[in-house]
Amino acid sequence: MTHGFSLSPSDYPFEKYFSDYSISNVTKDKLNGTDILILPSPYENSKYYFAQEAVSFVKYCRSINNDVKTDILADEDKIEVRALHSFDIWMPIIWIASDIILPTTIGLVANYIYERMKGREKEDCTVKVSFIIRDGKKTKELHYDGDARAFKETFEKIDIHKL
Amino acid sequence: MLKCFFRYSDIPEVAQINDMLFHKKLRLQGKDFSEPNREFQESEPLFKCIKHYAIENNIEELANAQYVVSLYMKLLCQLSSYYKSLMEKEYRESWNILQDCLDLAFWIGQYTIIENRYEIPQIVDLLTGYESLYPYKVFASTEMIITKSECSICGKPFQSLDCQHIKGNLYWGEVALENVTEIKEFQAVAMVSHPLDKRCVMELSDDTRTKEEKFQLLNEFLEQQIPAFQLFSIEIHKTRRQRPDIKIVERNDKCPCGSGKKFKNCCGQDLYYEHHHHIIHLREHILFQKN
Repeated sequence: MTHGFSLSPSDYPFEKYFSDYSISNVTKDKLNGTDILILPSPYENSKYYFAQEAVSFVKYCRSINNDVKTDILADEDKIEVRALHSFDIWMPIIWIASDIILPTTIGLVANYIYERMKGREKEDCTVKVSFIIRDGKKTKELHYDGDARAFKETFEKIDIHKL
Repeated sequence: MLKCFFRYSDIPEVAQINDMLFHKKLRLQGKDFSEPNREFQESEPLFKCIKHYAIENNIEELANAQYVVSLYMKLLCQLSSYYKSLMEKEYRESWNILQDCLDLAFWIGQYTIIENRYEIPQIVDLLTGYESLYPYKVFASTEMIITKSECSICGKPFQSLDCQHIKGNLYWGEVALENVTEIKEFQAVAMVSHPLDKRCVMELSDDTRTKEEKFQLLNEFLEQQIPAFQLFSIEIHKTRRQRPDIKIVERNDKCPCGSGKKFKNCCGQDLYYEHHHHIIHLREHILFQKN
């Protein structure tokens, strides 16, 4: 199974999402007071859906690390999840308030994948995940699409601070 | 979780379940697949009793452990059902039982560290071997937009962060499940090789083949009378063979099938087919372990 990651400048359409879904100011403010924020993925039909693991991942982060403030960028009653029923792990877009939190976030994702794979450790499984990292006024995106078992190892080899 | 349960053997119901598991394993080892679900049905009230005791005495570890051991009991019973269905040549039904067994084994694995899974990794190995003998390789998998769902434990909306239960985790002997109550849109049914659930198989509606023909590989394997719980692996040798039903003429002659085309442009193009020769390598037997 192949694995790979890529890095690019981010152009996530926050404004379009906020206006199309009439997102409340309380939710918009989460961009200023949260360390890790789960974003919906834009689809071809101009809709925004959360990835299958989105809600479980937020609950998982909150259950094991109270120091990092984790939330979901949606009004409480407007969370729409795209369920695929594949064995592959479809992680959401993870927005990170600062690159300092990136290693912690990658650790959380790696542990979450490990938990999800428990009992089926020998099976091939692909993970798809994107990170949007705020670095001052700029934002950059980091994508991983590959072998679940190689996720941790891949990021251990990279000097995250030099990205 | 499995080993932790048996640490509570001073509780009479735990000791009784231990005996029942031992008896079930003896029956499996002796290839007695009659009344496959007997032990599971008999043990159900005992598990309920242990759960009640665990909750009353504030022992979440025991409440969760009894759930995992009940899955283990169910797995052993489903294994009996599986072999029974194979013996009765109920191949189509056996596929679903096989998937039930695999799901149970995976669930147990999710809550039990690898070293404490007894013979379950070998059972998964065995069942995956059987899985490869079926003609099902592509499955239907749904893509949908879920807008409302409830937590099976607290009843709150599952998508809401007010509900802190994580899907699939164990809480006081209960698994947190997401009960979907509103699907906004069914977007597609995808054809995939690795879905979460392999029960949705693809079959031809006008397939008139007999079950022996449809499940040829499985049927031929069973005719070898390889003992139950014998681990195996299959090696496939691919060779090109000439089709016996095509009469060979010169390349530029008219095709004998009567199409009027030259042989090289007609049946001559389908002269060979890929033949799969399966070699079964037998490995060790699964030995059921004492709890």
